[in-house]
Amino acid sequence: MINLNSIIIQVLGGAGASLLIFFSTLVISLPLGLLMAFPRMSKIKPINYIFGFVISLLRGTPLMLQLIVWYYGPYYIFGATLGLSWRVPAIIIGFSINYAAYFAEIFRSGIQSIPVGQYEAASVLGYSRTQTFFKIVFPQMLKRVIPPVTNEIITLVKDTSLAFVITYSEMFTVAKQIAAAKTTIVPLFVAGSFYYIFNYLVAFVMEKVEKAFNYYK
Amino acid sequence: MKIFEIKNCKKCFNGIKVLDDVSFSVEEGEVVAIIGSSGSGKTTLLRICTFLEYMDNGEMTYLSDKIVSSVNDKAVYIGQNTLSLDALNKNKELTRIKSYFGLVFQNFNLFPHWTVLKNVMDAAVSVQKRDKDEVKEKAMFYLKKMGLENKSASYPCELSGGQQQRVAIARALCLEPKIIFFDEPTSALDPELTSEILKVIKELAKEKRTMVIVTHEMNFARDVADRVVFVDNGVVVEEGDAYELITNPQKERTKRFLQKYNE
Amino acid sequence: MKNLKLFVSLISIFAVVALAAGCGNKTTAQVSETVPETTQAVAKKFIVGFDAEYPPYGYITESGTYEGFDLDLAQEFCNRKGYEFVAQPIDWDSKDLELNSGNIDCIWNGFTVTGRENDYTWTVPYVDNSIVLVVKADSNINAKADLAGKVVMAQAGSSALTALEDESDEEIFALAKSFKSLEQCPDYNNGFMSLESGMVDCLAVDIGVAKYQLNNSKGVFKQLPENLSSEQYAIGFKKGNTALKDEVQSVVFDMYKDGTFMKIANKYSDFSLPDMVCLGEYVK
Repeated sequence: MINLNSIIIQVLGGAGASLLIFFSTLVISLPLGLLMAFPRMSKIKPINYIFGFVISLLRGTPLMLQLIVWYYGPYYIFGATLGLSWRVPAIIIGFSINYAAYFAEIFRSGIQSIPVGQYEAASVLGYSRTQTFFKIVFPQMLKRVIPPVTNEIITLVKDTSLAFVITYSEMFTVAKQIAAAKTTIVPLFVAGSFYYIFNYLVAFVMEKVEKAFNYYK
Repeated sequence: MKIFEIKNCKKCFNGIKVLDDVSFSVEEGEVVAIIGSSGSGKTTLLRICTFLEYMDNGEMTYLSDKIVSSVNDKAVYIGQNTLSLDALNKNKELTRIKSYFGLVFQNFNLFPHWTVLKNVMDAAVSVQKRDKDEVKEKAMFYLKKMGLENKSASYPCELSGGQQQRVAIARALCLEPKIIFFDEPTSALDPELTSEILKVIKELAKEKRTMVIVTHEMNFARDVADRVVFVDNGVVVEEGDAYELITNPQKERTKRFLQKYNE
Repeated sequence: MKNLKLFVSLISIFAVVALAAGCGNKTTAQVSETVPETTQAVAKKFIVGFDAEYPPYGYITESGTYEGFDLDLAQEFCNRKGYEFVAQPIDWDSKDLELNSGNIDCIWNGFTVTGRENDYTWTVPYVDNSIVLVVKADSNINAKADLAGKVVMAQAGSSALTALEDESDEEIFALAKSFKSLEQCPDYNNGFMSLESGMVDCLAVDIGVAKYQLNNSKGVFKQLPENLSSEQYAIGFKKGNTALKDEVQSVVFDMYKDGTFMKIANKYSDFSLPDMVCLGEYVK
């Protein structure tokens, strides 16, 4: 009989790789998304168009393809031999920039949903543009973007399995390998359970965050 | 002493003249009511006075600071300085001039994520850089005056429209402006709450605060304002003593306008 | 530009990559039992001995019939010769006894020549199941020993990976332990791209795949002279039974020439059989 414990331990061994992708992507893509949202809303048309195009490209092509480009691109386009040490950076860059594009659009719509009256009140009271953004617009935007951001985070947890397309063995790949070696689907269910448990935690935390913002409407 | 003056203000939106050569001034301690039908340009006028819009041509004076606009050559002049419109927005001079006035909006525009007290205090602390304790004391004083001293920890969404508007008035007062503009402060409120706000403004008038009120409440204008400016189709049609103008208008257009309200 | 082509081709098929894991048609080959009764009164019997637990060469299906690549080939041989085909599952340990006693005419069952060259009379090999080591053409790796401290890659779930992870084979296990790391790739395109772009130093692959890549990207890669493992399959006859061997071999050659052989091989493409067929090297 297959030893469930050993399967769990083996699958968990791959979980570290998945968590590395998850947390690195989250930490980089959230602020990056905010930074990309501004030029996307720029009144200067060329900047606006360029970022609109870049974001549509990132959202309109598969992440799998983007990972391949980030990983193999330096060699096939520029002839740079980076070696295996480029793999984790390529994954984190690929994931972060892709997710930043989604976050940028979420932030943009969040910022644009703040009523113009808020800006006018801030202007009359003498707040600078920076103050207006950080004291008035940003906190209100946060509350509005929590549900869509939660959706993206949950998708990210599951998307970490795409890293194997550039040969990085994360949790799901490890599970598939054990499944193939032991001809049993148990590892896949074990991996599935981990994804579920982790996403349950994500949803739980985000619900708390959402509740914390419930003090005003 | 003149607190505020606007001269020959011209404004077009997409080629349509909204304001044509409007001028009026406000003396210290004076209450001026601006009346006129919807679309007459009175709200635009108020937005120009409070830098939410820029006039195409004309000049404004707050105390001794003169602001000359001439968008034809894309420039605004403050005192000796010439500034582009963009630079003006970032200009410290503008921040100083903005501290001369307050504006109370039709829709209150309180910051929903802040408590009542923070709404009233924050600009004084973070824009005017005043001492926090002093500002807090002042804020509580104005909230008390507005009958809201026990609402200081509430959030705007927990208040009625009338209460929210009173918070907005306290917010304006806390910055200690030389002049307060009111943009139809009761239009979003039902009659009961309207009288609540009018009462508050009446109190402020008694204290000899300098105020400009855009309003549809003719009785209120007649009783509270010192002077009335009637704006129609972007021009000042008639201007004069509030009681005189409303009870005995001289111009035909003013008569027709006031008749509608008496019906 | 050739390099770029590989890159672009991978990009264009990346979606397929995701699906590559496990779809394909499991064509069932009807063999043995369903041989049509010939009008000839006594057709000569051709008895093939095979291990019924060796897919895809010969195996028993859930419904109890015998199927497989080698059985299909043998059936085709009999059809052409008008023989009655008998698929005889045997106990693998008694294969010599069965063959020598004449109970079976041949062993046609993914039968490994390597190491048994002199024990049987063999046809030429028709399947090469060797695992080879491929490096970049300009690499200074020329032998297995040079792989110490290098990054080696194999496809997930491939026989190459299985071989490298097999702790029971001491020689290969020691070799695998000398690597800096053993990486896995989801598909061969990815493996060769990793190799070409210098992400890894060596790729362990089935010989068929390696040949295909070496032919199609001339000068980019080279194959190490030493194989990771060598395994060639041929049809084995009782030592000295050259007549029957020649008869079978010439028919098999004919089958190869008219395309029937590869048609049958393609039925088992799930097992990448078509890539492993090496008969073409021997057919004149």
